[in-house]
Amino acid sequence: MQSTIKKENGVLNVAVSGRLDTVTSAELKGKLDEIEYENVDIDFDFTGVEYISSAGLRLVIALQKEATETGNKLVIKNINKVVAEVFKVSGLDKILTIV
Amino acid sequence: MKKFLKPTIRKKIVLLSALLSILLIAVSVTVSSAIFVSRIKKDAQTQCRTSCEMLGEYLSELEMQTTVSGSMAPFITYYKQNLNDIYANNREEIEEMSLKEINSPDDLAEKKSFFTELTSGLFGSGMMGLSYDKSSFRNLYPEVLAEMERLASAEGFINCKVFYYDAEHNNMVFMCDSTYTTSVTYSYPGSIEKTDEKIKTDVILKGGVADFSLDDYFMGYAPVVIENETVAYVSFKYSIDHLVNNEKEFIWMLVGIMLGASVVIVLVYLFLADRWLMKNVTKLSDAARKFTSHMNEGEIVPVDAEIRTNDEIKDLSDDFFALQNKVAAYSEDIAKKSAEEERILAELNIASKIQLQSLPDKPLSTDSARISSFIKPAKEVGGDLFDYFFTDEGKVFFTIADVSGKGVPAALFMMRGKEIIRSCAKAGMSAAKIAETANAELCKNNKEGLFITAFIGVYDEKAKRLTYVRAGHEQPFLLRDGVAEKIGEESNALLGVFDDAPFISETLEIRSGDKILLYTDGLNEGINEKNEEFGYDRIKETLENASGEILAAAYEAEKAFAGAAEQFDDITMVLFECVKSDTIALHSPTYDDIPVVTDRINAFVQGLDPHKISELDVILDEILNNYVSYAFDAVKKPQIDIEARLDRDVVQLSFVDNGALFDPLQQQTPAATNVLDRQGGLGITLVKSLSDSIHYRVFEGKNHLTITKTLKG
Repeated sequence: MQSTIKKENGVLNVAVSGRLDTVTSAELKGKLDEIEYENVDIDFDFTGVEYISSAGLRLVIALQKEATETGNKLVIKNINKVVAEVFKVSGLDKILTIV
Repeated sequence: MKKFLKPTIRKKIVLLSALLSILLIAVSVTVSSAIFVSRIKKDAQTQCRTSCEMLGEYLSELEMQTTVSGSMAPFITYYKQNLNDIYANNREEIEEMSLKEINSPDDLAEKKSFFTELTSGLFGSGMMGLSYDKSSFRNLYPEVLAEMERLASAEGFINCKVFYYDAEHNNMVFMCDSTYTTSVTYSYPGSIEKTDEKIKTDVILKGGVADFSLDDYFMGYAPVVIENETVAYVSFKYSIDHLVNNEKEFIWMLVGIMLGASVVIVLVYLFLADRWLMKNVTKLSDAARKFTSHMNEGEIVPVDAEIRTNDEIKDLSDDFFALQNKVAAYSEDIAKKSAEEERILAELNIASKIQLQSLPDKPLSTDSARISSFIKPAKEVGGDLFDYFFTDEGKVFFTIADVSGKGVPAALFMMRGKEIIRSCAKAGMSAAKIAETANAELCKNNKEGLFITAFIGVYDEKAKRLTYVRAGHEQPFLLRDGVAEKIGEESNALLGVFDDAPFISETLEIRSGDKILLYTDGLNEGINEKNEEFGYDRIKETLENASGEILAAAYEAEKAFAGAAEQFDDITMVLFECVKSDTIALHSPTYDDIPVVTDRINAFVQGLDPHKISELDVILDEILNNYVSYAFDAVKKPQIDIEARLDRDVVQLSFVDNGALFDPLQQQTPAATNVLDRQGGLGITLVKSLSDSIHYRVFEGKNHLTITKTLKG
């Protein structure tokens, strides 16, 4: 997994690619924890994400909960077929903002 | 209570003694009381007779005197004559009054009044006007009455009467009576009684002294003879009851003494029986009990009852002691033998293990095939064998075989057979040649006549062709397109019987996904509690419906069928599958192993739909994550064996782990109403959704999870 995280104009741009699984989700969480991103909108770019497993889903769920509490937005962009299928199976497609 | 009711010999002796003494008492009391009563009767009779004679004689003598001192005239002559006058004149009235029943004091008073009136003239002018009673008579004949009373005063006498006989009317006419005038039975002078036939015959007609034994008294009769003429009669009444009653105390005392004596006799008898018989029986029984209680503690020590009498019990005791000694000797012998047996069993056990270790314990994966095996040995060392490997020619060899019989000979022969077949196969011989060579070798020095049934297969991967020989072995099943059918209908000879037997092989074109199950008769001849065999139909059915691992499914089906029935024969199976396969063993897995496994599986399924492969990766991530996070908390050497099989575009992943038994399919997936609050259950939900099928079973104490997924876009 590769990831780039940038904070611009009150928006946290997170670009992820590769596998978002047990190991890489923990890595990503570690990276996010290092940055102060409180009270910002999050813009997830999933271009190049091969798949997401439940560990990745839990990270996304946690971020979505925080955003909802602070009144911020979380947007996920450019998901592939597999990620869309996983979001659908888990019911997250109804809650997340996927564009 | 049960112990109390136990019919011991002692109790039987007591019971018998008690019965005996009761019988003794009954007999002696009966006999002695009979003797006693008859003696009393005899005494009474004698006394009665004597009294009769004495009174008769007295009255006769009295009559001989011209005058009686103090009396008015001779008793019989005067008194009887006067009384007879009165009787003759008033006979009908007298009869009526005499025979009248006395039912009340009034009746008695009437009777008394009548006879007083009747005889008032008889007892002299001086007596006129006086009421009649015995004293009137006493005044006239004091000596007569005194003598009567004297005689009647003896114990048991009821009364004494004097009467004469009126032959014309058969009446006894009473002259005097020694009893009280107030008595109902008092016979008034002048009163009558009808004469009893026996008295008439024996006394009156024969004129002798007689006595009669009636129900509860005697009657004695004697004539009063004056100058050879019977003028009157005397009678004495004597009570038997009275006498017997008087002697009752004595009888009771007698019974008491006898009872006491019997008790003493029984006690003495018991004491002696106990001393002489029971003591020794008890001693013997104690010795026996001691011996068996020692025996229960695992010690065999003969116990001598030490009986010193020279009777049968002594013989029995001696025999018993000898028997104990024999048992002790025999047990020692058996103990030695069983120790020896145990040693042999232990060695056999080791032999059995060595035998199993000589068989392949891992599946063999080739480019396009996979061979795996299963063996469940029966208790006894058996002769099942299987083998598989690459031949020197690059072909895949596999075999299953079963040696006739069981035990050490079968095991040794099996080892020999395995080595021969192995060396032939290694050298790259054809299936027929292997069979032929092995047969010839096994026929040599086979004096015990053992033989082997075998199925020998050589798979040519390039040509996708299986060449096989069936030598008397069970027909394997080919599972193709969901249908299982037996193959190898024609059988060759058994191995080790005819050294020149020809062996002809058959060929089978193998298609991707084909599965061939080889097995020994331990499977199809496995019996259940009703003694029914598992049979070929059930094998076919199991294969066609198997989910997950086929070998595990087949063994489980047989075990479920057998129930509690013992497994008598080894159950051995070899599975040939035409699938691409890969095996990964993870020891003490960590999160870092997840990408390694993922990469390897991705390489294994390379070329198939990438999206589907990504989904497979999600499945892998979820399952491995779960293993690392939860499965091995209390496990010393955690291990996961992962097998991947690829049949065209269908991949099957098998996970076998030694972690805590846990069925992930039983995990409750929470309702999706509030997805954001969901913590657990996401992973299994994804696995279930993304796989074609998922199967879990516990087999041989391990978790077996099998997942299949089609990797086609």
